[in-house]
Amino acid sequence: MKSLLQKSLAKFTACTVIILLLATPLFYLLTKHFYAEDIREVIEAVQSGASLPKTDLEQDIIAGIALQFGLIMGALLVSLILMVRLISKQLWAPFDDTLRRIELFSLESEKLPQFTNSNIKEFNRLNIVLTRLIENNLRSYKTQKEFTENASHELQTPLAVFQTKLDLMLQQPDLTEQQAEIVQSLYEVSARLTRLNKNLLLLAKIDNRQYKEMELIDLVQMIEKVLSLLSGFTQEITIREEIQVASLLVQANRALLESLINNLVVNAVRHNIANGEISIIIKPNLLIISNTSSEGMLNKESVFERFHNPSEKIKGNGLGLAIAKAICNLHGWEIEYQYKSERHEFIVSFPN
Amino acid sequence: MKLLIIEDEHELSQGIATYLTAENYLCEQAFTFGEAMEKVCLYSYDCILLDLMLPGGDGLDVLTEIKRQNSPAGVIIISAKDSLDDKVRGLKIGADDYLPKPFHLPELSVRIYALIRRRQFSNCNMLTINNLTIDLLNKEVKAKEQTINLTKTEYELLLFLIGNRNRVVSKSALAEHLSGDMADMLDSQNFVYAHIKNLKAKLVEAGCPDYIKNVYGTGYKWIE
Repeated sequence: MKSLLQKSLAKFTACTVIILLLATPLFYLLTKHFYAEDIREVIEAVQSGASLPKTDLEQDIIAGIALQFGLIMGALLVSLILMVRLISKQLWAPFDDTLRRIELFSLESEKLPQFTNSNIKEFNRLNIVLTRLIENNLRSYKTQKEFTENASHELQTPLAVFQTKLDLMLQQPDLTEQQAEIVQSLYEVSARLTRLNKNLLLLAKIDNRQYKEMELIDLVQMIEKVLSLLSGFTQEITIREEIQVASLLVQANRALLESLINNLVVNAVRHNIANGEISIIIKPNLLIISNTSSEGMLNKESVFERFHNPSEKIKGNGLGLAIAKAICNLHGWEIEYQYKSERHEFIVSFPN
Repeated sequence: MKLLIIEDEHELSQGIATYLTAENYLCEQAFTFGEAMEKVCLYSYDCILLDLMLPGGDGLDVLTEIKRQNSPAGVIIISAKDSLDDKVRGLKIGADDYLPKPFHLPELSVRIYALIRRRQFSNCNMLTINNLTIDLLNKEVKAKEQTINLTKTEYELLLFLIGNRNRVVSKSALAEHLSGDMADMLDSQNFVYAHIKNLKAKLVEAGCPDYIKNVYGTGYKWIE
């Protein structure tokens, strides 16, 4: 294996030799026809006894040299350009290949790019270093993902103990009203913890691509089901449905699609105003859920970020929209936020 | 009724045992895979609660052993790993129910109650309590021959309270039982309150005394 310098010097030398050989006929032609033809004419005239031709030697020599110089330089330039192009194309081909593979690499795909071996030392070193770097990254990415999942699993049992103890506490026959109030607030804490943990686990599992079962689901039917569950919670909010299609079939994981709709609908309830309105529109390949709210326009980019909570009063745990986004990404759907006539609008589009 | 609780977390196992003992179940506990296998092989139970992650082995192997013995016991898996794979595998091997942790004790209790009823009184679909007769098959409730028209939610609520009679059931447990995922996302206080109010009104209208007692707004109790 050679270094880049050695390799390019060798190639350069080889090319120069080839060009020299190719240039020989040119130089022969040049010498034959354009070299000192005036002097030859003078000599020929002297030998044959004819009168000397009228020539300006000085000007002729300058013209000849200039012509030669121009020709040589031209040939040299053209060959140099060709040489450099050829050599760098060949020499840098493995580098180009490596570059292309890194450009295509994404951490989420979790696939180590396979670099082709080259016979140049530096490029091989580069490939080895890159492979090691990516391997390390992939490993820590995986550990981090597994950590979230494992941590959430580990938390389930203590949470279960906590909730169980509360259920037992409530059975005490001599429970006072104050104690009951404390138990109630602990129940609320427990519910929040459980919810947060469930959401973290859900996100980790989506990241870890553990939802593989896909089926054809009618979104219209699913919306109806979710809304019937929701009916008990939305006494003061009007829900307006505008379903323009008989059915909207999407290829999806049932649990995740349900979670997506739940999150969007619950979000619309949670951030609504008293006597507000939620509208649910289904068009071909489009689901639009919008709601009235006292909050102004949200940042289009950061609204889907984890734990991004713009409102002072924390209502959710800041993961609902991150989950919605993750679910859409997994299925290859688009989710978009818009603020139109004082309504927050979430649009999910299902490409065919 | 004899129960076996297979769960490695002592506190949790103890909590479950305390709650269920008060409901007149005879509870035995196993904390490791070895203990579980031994008890399953030696004794017979009406219902077995099975955690899947046990020190010394896989809970699903215990389940396989239970099924191999043709035991009449119903099996409820209680697992911290809320994974679909485990659930599907467990139910395929022959578990009767699957309850992910964390759960409410009243929820566990009604599941056990329903399971034992299903397995041992399979031809009796009538439930009589106080003055009420409930036809479980047709989901019909009668008080002294007079039919009470309940909504689906009110019917579920009634069964849940009766399944935990004489115990205090928290509002959280009720909300979760009635509306699953929605409950912990939204404010469930008013939701439960509204349904309880309607159910109470309908029972009183049918001439029943007030069986549902409110415990300081934290929970409700069905008094037999």
